[in-house]
Amino acid sequence: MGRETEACDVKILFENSFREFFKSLCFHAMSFVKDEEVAKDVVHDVFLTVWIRRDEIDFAQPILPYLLSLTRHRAINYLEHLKVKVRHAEQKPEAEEVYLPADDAGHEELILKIKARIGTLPDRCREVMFLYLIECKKYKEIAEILGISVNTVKTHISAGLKNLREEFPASLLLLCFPYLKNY
Amino acid sequence: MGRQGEETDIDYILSHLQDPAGLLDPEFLVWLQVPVHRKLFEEIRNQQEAFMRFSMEDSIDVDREYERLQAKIRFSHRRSGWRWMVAAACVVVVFGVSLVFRYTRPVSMVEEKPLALLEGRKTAELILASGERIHLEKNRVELRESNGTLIVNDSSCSLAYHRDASAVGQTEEKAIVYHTLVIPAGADYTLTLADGTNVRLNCETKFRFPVEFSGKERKVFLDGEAYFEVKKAGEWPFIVETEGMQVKVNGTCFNVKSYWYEDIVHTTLVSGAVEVANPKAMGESVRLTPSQQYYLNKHADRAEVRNVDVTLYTGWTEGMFVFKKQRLEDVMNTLSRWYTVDVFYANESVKDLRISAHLGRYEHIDSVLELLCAMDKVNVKRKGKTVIIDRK
Repeated sequence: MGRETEACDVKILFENSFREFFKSLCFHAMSFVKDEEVAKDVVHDVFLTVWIRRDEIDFAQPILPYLLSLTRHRAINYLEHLKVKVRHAEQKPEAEEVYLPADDAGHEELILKIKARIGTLPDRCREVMFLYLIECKKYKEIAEILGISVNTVKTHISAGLKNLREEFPASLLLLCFPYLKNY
Repeated sequence: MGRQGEETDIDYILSHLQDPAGLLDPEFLVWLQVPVHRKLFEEIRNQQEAFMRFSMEDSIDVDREYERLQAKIRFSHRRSGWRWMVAAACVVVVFGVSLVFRYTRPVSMVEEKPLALLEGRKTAELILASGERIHLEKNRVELRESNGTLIVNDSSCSLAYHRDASAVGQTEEKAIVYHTLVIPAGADYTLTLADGTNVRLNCETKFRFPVEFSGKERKVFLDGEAYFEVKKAGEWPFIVETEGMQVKVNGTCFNVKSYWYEDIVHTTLVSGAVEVANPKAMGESVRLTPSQQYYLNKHADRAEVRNVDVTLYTGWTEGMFVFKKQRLEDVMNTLSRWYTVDVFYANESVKDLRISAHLGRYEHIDSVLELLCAMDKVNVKRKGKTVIIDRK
């Protein structure tokens, strides 16, 4: 078992980690930075760091918690860099103290619940919500596909989100984000 | 951001999750130190993440992202085989500083992260008439000028000036108040003027403009590069003053490039009509039609008017570098201005190689350099902020 084989193993383990976790880490970063491209950059930097430190990492152990911490750390750095320079002194407490260690509860069950809830919506409303949330269609496009007016689309989305909000308060944020590119 | 009386904990969290800056609000951070609050925050944040995942699961191409990462890794790897390269670089410096392309650049606004500096971003600095400076990026900023104009910067990196429609019509010529927008290297920004004209500003650009235009004409001052979509308005000419050119328009889309440290300046017309005059030459002004370019070498006597492929000159507004059989040195000039790197040429002849390419501006520099290498004409290596180019 030469040096080369070991190096190969690490490369394969690294690639596996990337393929397994890249998307999740992006969504995690996105909940902080809001922008898809920025989130991808953050996660790229995370994996670059992991690559540089690959000799120190035991890929046999679960690596996700480490990746999550790195991701949050990077995301918060980015946010801090964005702030308009305020002239007052230190920031107590430090953002990193508050948001780290990272918490990630996993989404499979949550996503099933979201789908189930959307399933309970009245027919037309459900169709509109599906096109809006999953296919990310704009109001105009939805109107054309279903043969209804843009105003009707807005009404359905409003009603759909109101319904979702009862079980999932965070659905309110769906209206605020340019990443959805739905306006 | 104070806590409203009736707001529930959930609403409080949502209001801070809405805006990237909200997560850093000092009061919010203190509130989050209570374990129960932190737990609720994570729950809501997790929900938001689930919705994002729900919507965007398929829009991320992991294979492509892995390739992108590999390009970055390859470049950071080359640093280890670096010793002979550094020696060669030293030799280059000793034998001829003329081989080194260099120019003075403004102080970079972000210092910490070397990797992050090597990517294009959207950022700018607004200088008010009082001299006060405001950093702009995706932060939301709102200001109201004394004449009622509302200035808003939003998270899509665009700054807009909204005239106060209720302001009494000015019959007297009041002194015009100017603001200046400064774009650093490696960035671009969007500005909407008080008359509705849209301006895209490229890197290393200083743009001076009135908060509110005078009734006679709409005059702005440019050092750098900008793409204008001028709002059509009857007898109200829009004038761009820059070194070497004075561009007069009335409802039209055009690109102006005039950097003080470059010899060549030009104005390219996309649609509408413009009149370009050389302020130093007497009288003469030239009318351009769409796809024409007014091209001037500051040392020459007269300007040329030529027909061009406008995408070569406006590609940057779409987030692209567009080069068509352009000399490598010119290509590297553009890239080094954008990424703030120095370029060393291992031999002179390399500078004349011709390159055609479509490159994304917001890509990390290593991806772009990797592409140049892949064209099989040159070897490109980067160490920190220095790029070395050699014939293959």
